[in-house]
Amino acid sequence: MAEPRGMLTPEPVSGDPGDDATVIARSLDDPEQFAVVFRRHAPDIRRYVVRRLGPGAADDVVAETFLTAFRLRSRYSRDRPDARPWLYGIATNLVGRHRRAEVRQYRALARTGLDPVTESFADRADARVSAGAESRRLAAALAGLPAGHRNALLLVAWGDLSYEQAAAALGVPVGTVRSRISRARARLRQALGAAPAQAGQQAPAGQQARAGQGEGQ
Amino acid sequence: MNEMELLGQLRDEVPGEMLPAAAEAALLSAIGAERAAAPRSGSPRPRGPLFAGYGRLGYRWRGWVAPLAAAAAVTAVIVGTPAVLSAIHAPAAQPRAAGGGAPAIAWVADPRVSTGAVVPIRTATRTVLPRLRTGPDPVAFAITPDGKTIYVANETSSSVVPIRTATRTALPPIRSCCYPTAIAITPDGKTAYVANMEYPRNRLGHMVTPIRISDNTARPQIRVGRIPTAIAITPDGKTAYVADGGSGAVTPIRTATGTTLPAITVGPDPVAIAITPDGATAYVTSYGDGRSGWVTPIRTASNTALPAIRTGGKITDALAITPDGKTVYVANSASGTVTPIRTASNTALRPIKTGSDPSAIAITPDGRTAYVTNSRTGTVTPIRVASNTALRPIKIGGWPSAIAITPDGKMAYVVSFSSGMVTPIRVASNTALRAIKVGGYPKAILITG
Repeated sequence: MAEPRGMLTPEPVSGDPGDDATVIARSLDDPEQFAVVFRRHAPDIRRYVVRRLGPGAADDVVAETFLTAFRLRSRYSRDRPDARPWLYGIATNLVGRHRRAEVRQYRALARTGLDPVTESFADRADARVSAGAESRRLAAALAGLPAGHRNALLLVAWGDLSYEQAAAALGVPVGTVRSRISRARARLRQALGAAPAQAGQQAPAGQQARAGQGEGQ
Repeated sequence: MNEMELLGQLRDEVPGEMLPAAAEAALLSAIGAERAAAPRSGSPRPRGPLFAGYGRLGYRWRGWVAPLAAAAAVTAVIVGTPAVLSAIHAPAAQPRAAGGGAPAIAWVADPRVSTGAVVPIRTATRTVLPRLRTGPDPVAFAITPDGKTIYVANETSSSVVPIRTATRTALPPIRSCCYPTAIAITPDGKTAYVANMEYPRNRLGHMVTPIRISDNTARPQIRVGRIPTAIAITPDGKTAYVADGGSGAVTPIRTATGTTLPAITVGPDPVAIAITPDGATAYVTSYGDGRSGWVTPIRTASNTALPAIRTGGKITDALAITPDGKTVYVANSASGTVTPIRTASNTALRPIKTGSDPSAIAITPDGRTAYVTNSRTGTVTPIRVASNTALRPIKIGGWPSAIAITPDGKMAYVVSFSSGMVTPIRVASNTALRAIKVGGYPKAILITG
């Protein structure tokens, strides 16, 4: 247990503050130390969440990920030196809250060819370039995945976690992650292999859609 | 390129190496608060169980919340997010007045994982009442016709929690399969139908869970199409329509027998359903193709789809029907427009410009004004129904994503997801009053009165 210290003098940390477990353990008595965890991992977590939800909702999800982690830090197990699975697990859980928005973005990309996530970064005119047919099919397939499969797949593909880390993040056995990812990948491959007509447009119900009818009334 | 490389490419289009400033500020303020609350120096802290996946750490049912106040009778409900909107705005399914003079309460869902709750706001004084813990992720509401009970669907905790409106107490959760996302109650008040977004364990197909309201027990599940996203029930209570987001169809369920009828194809990504007050037609929005979203009318008598109506805007999502049943308003979320559709002829009028990302629509009980939340611009656009013209947008702030109108039609309450605020709008003047801090990340709202 640390010695009592004055309010304005954080525990001196010389050089390397240590692995995440060490820093988190220290943060129990010295909350400021948790900022180290934030600085280490926030950019990656942010990128992962932005890719899934777009920048608007991502700001909030990233903030709450770290607030939740901070609140629950006393439960963090010291035998896990890398906090990424924990943080990505919290973030993924929070992303799940926006599932509708997430799916909507994939569908938007699939149908319009515009990526709502990158488009919103900016004034960058080049960001408005239509995505290729492959990306569009991929996005359509992502939208159709069961959430559990998508979470496992994207923790690995976008969060750069190993299968074991993804399993820890999701709280499921690694075999489950393996099978979810393999099924998810099979679905994506299938979508990429499909003819554009099957993956993309589908005629509206009934006969012909009545485009623009009644406009200007 | 294989699928993993393509995914990597998509990810790499997002700039990395950015420290999220708002998140940092929030964390630093939490650190500061803790420092202020507890003196440092080895304060004893509970050392919890070993980390075993966040999904298993979180929520535990905390039992009953102490009753707090007198009866709240219900007269009307209009709700925001598409799931909720579609769940309960078939007008005949709306609750009737049950005794006058009860204070109006706006119920706001705050779906934080660690502290998922429903927050009641007394609308007369605009004061926040004690939160009711429901479990993580309350995302959708429905209310019984007698106004006595609200059912709250908790998505990630896969449960439905009944709340007694009179005492503002939460009852024990009812398990609902897997990720309940939309809920609707039959007009006779006997059954709640809950659409679940995920597959149940080891079983094929997505399910709707009926809940018997008399004893709050889940009944045998009904298999529907892929990834149900919305549910609505006809005013006569005979049919529940479930939008199958993943299969581009709508599945009708005969409520008397709990059996499904053949699915009706409506096109890609149906996301919201509303039924006209006379029960004759169900309108289903679909994201459509790259050029336009569309709305498919379904004749309820024959369960057949009429020709789809193109909206002239992209990614068509939320919808609402005027109380007289003459006009359907649909939000084109990717185009920043709302398209009015005349139900008499099933034709689309010219899209009305709103703000960016119109996400929820609510219409006043007198049918004069439709309010549209523009999530990305942080505003609400009132639309005059008589002329289909947009009035000046009302500044709200945050990420407005749900809206409800009080039963007396005098106020609209707007939920801002990212700021944790609920902003009342005076309908007569279209002015925003001082925002009410709810905290957290509120998502859905329902008003009883």
